Amino acid sequence: MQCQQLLVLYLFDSALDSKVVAWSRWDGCSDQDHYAGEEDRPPYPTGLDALKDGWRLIQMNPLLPPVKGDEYTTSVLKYEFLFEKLGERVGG
Amino acid sequence: MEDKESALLNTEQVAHFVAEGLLCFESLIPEKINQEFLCFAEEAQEEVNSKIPKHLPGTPFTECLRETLLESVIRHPRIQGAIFSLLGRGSVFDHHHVHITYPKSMTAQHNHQDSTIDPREKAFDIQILYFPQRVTASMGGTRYIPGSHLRKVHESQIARYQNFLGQVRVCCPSGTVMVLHHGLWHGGGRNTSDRKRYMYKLRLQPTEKQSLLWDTSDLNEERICKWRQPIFQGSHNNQKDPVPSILMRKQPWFDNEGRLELINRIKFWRLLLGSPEMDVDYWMSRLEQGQSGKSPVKSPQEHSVGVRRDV
Repeated sequence: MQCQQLLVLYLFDSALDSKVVAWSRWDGCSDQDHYAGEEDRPPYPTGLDALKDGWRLIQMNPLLPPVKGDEYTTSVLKYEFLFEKLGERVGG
Repeated sequence: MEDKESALLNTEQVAHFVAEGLLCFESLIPEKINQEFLCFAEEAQEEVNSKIPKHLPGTPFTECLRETLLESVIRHPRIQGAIFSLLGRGSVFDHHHVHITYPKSMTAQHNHQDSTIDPREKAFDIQILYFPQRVTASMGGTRYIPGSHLRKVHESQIARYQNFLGQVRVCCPSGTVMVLHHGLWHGGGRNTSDRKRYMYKLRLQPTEKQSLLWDTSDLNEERICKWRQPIFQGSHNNQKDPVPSILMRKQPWFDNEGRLELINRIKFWRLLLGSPEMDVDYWMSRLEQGQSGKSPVKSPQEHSVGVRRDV
C-alpha cells in the first residue's frame, strides 16, 4: 500500500535555505511514532538540505503583511514548510 | 505576612523571569515533606485530586491550603517570596491539580499553552510546579520552551510543533519547585520508566498592579538609565550589570520574530518596573522617537521610575 511520510520544518525566515528552528514528523509508512519533545537535533540543518535528500516540498506559508495595530504581537511560528515522501507501508 | 517569612526576588531574578518565563528552585522542599506527599498521593491513587482542598477561584492565597502538607510547599520562604514578588501579597487562587503520568505511557502530551487565548497586556498569572520526587529523563518530566511565554496562542493550537531548538525537559532532584509565567509553552513527556511521575500545579492570579513588588533595594534610576545602550550592546556580556544581557538573550528557537520578542520583553519589563519609558538597548525608543513630538530618550536627571534615586 502506498503511504505518505510528512516532515514539517519551521525555518528562521521565509527562505528555504535558512536554518531549522523547530520540526515535526509523521510517518504513515511505518509503526514508528514521533512524540513531542523527543528530539533535540533537527533532521536537517536547513530546508534546502531536506529537499536535497529527496523530500518533496508541498506547501510553504504565505507571506502576509503585518496586521495594523498588531505589528508586534508574536504568536505561532511563521515560516512553516511541509515536505512529503511517498513510500510503501511496512509493518502492521 | 511578615517579610521574614518570604525571601523576595532580586532584580536579576525578575529579569530572568521576564526573559525565560520561569524560575527554578532545585531541591528546595525538605525530603520529609516530599516523602509525605508521595505517600499521600500513592494512597489516594486516582482519587488524589478529590483529596486535596477545594477552593473557589478568587480565594485569597493566604487562605489556601491551610494546615495541609502542601502549605509547606507554597509557604516556603523562597516560593512565597517569588509569589509576593511577581503577584503581590493579595494574589488569589485560580486552580490546582495533581498531575500523574503513568509508567510505560504510549504518548507524550502535545505542546500547549494553558487555558485559552489570554489578551491581558497589563497582568499575568503564575503557575507553581512542585516535583516531589526525583525526575529522571525516562520519566518524561514536563517539557517547556524557554522564552515562549509572551506569544499569544490558543491552547493546543501549537500541538503541531513537536520539537524546538533549545527545548528543555525537566530532570530534577526531589523537592524542586518551578514558577512559570502562565503563557509558557509546555507539555508532559512520555513516561517510559516503570514509576509513576507526580507533579502538583497551582495557578495564582494577581489582584494588584504588578510593579516593583520584588526587593528593589538593588535598583535605582542610574542603573536603569544605563540599560539604554546603543543597539546590540545589551546582549554583550561585557557589562558589570547582568540585567541587559539577560533581557536581550535570544533563544535557539527564535526565528525572524526574535527581535519582536525582545521588544515584547521590554514592554513586559516596563510593566514590572512601572516605568513606561525605560528601554534596553534602543528597541522601543527607536519606535517611539518623534511620536509625541518629544524625544523619548531622557537624560538620567529627567528619568523618573518611582524607585530610589540613590544606591
